[in-house]
Amino acid sequence: MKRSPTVRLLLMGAAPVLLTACEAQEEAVLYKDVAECVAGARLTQDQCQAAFDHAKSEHERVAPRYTSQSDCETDFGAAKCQAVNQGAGIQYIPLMAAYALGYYAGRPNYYQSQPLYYSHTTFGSGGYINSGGQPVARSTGNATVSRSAMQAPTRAVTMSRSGFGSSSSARGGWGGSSGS
Amino acid sequence: MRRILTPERPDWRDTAARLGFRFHTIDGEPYWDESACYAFTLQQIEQDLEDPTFELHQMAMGLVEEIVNSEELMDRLAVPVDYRDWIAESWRRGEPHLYGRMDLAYDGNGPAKLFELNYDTPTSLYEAAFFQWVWLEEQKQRGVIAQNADQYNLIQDLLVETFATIAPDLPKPLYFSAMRESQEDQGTIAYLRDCAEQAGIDTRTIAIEDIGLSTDSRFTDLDDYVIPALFKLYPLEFLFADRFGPALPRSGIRLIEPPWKTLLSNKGILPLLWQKHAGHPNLLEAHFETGTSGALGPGWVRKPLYSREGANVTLILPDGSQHVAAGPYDDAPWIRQAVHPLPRFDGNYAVIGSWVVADRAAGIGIREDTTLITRDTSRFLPHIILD
Repeated sequence: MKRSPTVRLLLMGAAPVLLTACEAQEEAVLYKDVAECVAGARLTQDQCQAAFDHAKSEHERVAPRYTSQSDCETDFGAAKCQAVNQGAGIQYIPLMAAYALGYYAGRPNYYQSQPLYYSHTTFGSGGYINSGGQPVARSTGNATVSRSAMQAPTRAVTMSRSGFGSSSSARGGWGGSSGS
Repeated sequence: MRRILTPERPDWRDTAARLGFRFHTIDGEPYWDESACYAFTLQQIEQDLEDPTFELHQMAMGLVEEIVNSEELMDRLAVPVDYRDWIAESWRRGEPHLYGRMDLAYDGNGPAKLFELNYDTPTSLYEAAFFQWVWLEEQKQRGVIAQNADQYNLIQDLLVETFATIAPDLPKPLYFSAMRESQEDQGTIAYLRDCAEQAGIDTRTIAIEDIGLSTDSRFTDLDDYVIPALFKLYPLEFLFADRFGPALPRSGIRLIEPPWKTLLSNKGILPLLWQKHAGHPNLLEAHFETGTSGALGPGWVRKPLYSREGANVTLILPDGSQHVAAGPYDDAPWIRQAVHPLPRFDGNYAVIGSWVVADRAAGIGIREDTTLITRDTSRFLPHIILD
């Protein structure tokens, strides 16, 4: 046979067919706080603290943000949101609920820890998500997670948009398509 | 190779709607056309299309190393000076590519001839990889097409496999981007995104026009998240010419297709292939146009280095008759290629789009037009293999 044995659509069609993702998995560990980390006995007190401090320092910058407190509490629960003002007016972000670190070649990446948030809807009955909204694990402790879930997205201050796309319109919207 | 009239599936428009195919009719004109199909023998597919596609691809890939190490060749291809190092770096780092389409002239006999490589922003992918596959299955079930008919179409398998192969080293999420208003381009990226998701890659979409530039020269989405990797169905040379272009080399963004792929999408690759493999049965003689080239003579085609959808192509047949496709790409140097008229079936000129995924020949799609120069007005027809 010279053609694909099956073809599938997950998102594009009206009736998706779901497949098992085959992304690389990696080991990670989640802690609610420094005390739980120390009790886990995998890291020293200093490492636990350093990992927590790094996650905490990232938290306000990367957390999902909302313009209204009620929207934030709908997703994360009553009294689980805080107000921040980073120059764009008052915004609401969930409280940091835990922090996670991955293991690379068996060694803890405690200097690249990331903040996690507790969502009541993820995993069906609640669990921890990262700042990009990706589910990480149902509970704290050891977990196996997809590699991308441990690569938290980075944010930056956007100063300008609409800097791409003008060449196509300058060429008269050729056939309405930029492809060939 | 025969053109066979086939009854349309009466419900194909519903099927298209269910399967996300929204650009089967473009500006009121039919684009997907199943009133006929092309039938090939397995030998025609394997010997005349699949093998030459692989060989031509290898020949083209063999030129990249030479081009990135030569200022003279970069000049000939009119690659903007400011982006040359970045393009060369993307090649030396081995940034993976995903797909390309080469357009071949073939009538069922003799060697297929390479018209050009669409290696940066190829379209007609969903209809080739997916919808023509579904067409064959349904027509076989309904007894319209013979039960033993096959199709040369491993495109989706290889796309998903390639995404899975490049996934571990790809920064994520992977954003898919095209011009907001182009339904065809949006359809193509929706399909590619679907294939990436099937391979387990975390994906997003953003319109080309919505991409932001941050204070520290990184590209951002509408929520200010840095875009670590971008599939762009938008010519790299357009990105260069746009206001944000100069930020590309230091932005750290990973592009698919990677920057080096623009070298192979450049029509200048055709004379370079001819210089290296003059007389190859699948190549048409081609030269760069220079000040001493003189007027275009009978038997030659003139194409801009950068052009899409047949725009700005001028063709003079051996009998002296001239065929011109107007267009906006009149500002780059030109190449000349020996005329090889497309074969005509029932009054339609057919061109074969032969897909390459990663480095493998993957399948074909056929477009027909009423003119010798295949344009964005062409129609897509399905094909079968039937011995």
